[in-house]
Amino acid sequence: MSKVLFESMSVELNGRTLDHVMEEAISIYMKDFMPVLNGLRNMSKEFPLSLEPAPVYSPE
Amino acid sequence: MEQNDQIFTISGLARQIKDKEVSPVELLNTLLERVKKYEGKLNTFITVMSDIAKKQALKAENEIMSGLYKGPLHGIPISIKDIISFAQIPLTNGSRVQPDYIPSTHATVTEKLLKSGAVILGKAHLHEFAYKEPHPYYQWTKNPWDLNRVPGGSSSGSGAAVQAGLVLGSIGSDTGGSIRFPASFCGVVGLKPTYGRVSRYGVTPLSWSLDHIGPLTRTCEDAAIILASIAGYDEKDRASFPRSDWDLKEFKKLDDLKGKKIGVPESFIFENLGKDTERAFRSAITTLAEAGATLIPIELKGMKELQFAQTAILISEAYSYHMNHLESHSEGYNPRLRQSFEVGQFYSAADYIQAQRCRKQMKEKFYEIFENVDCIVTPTAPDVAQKIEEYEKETSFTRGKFTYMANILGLPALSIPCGFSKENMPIGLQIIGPSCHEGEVLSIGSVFEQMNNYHKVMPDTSLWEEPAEFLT
Repeated sequence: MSKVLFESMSVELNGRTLDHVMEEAISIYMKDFMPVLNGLRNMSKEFPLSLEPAPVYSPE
Repeated sequence: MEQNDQIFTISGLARQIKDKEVSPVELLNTLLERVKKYEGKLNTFITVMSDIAKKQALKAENEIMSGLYKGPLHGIPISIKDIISFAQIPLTNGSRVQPDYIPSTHATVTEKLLKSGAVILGKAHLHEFAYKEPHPYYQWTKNPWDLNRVPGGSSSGSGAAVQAGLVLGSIGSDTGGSIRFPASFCGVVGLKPTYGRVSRYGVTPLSWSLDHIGPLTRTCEDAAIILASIAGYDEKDRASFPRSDWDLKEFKKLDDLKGKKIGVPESFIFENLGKDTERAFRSAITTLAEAGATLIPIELKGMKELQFAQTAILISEAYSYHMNHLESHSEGYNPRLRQSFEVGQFYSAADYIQAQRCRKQMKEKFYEIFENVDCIVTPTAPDVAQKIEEYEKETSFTRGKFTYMANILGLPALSIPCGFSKENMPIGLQIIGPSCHEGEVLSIGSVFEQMNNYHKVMPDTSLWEEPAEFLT
């Protein structure tokens, strides 16, 4: 994903204000974020339709 | 290395306090002297609460002298991580975002400790908002074994202070390993209980569905003593579950591990493990077998995917909590932490839900594994504590190869010392149990502890001598 796309997602989609620190951080987002996201999405392809999400705040 | 038989433990001192051989006031004064002597180098506290602690110790002493003994924490000095509220004392979260905030009430865990008669000596140093690294304003807590190395985090001040003998126990929090890393890197015991066992009310969240509160101590028995005090249902915490009280009787002093079945996920463990950690871990499982346990090879599949799920959940929840402050108080965050939290804005709701589905699937797999074993053992960390300068160069936020699974699955997990590297840095063994089996985990850990006595090995205290200016 390109830096420009991240910046526009942050500003236009998420309503955030970009500043110097944020702009510097974009390259770090790109390094760590995409592998996690791709891993998560690839894994999801194998889920059976019957698999429900875990309850968020309730111990099982 | 030499063993020190003069180490302070809660269980040992509790007996002496109960028998009126040790005065809580004198014990506190002894520890305050150590704080004065060593804190300047070690930097384990954000706030030392000397005056309040002195009042608590005097109260404990008067109660005990008049025959009102409350139990093994009565008169015992401990610290609490500075994301835990203590009424009328600043709650900094280790950050410069609203560092002067003063809570008006205690956290539930604070109330429970005070009710048990514990003496709260101060607010322990930590990584900013329990994540990543300390804010530069507060500087690093130093590892008592090597001042140039990280102490592990995020409960850094807790682990270092227990190892240095500045407190007898400390309360930390653990979202992906934040109790167990400092326990491993500083060479002490750290217990992350079952999710919902200990109330988080009054504790600043990092990630609501992954946060746990637990003790760091010198021994497994001491961790059990603190757990018995702080566990229990609290209607003010959404995650708290009924019958979450925990009785100290569940901790058993076993002679051996005969009949215990211990799962060893070899193929998962031995990728990218430091040589000394591998040696110590192999030695540890041999010791467990010598104690009578049966080692059972197990396969843990999908662990990388589970770590992706943990990361997506943690960062999404942390971003949700911090979203407003990231804009309105951006200058208060360490920029590196801020960058990590900002990533949370890029996960979609669907990504978060897929992570929760992964969580559900893996919980079911672990139920099956625990039908055949009593616990699973791994090293706590892939390697020993890094040099601070090396740690600061890393940008990745996906740490915690062995610890995160107990958070996302809500399982009790213990770290205990299991050896040392060639450079004399401690190495930790992690013991993960089925949900609500803290007693089993601590009892197994205690047998291992008694066979090795690593808890009696202390660093060279001359490394730390430099009076803390604020206490002189």
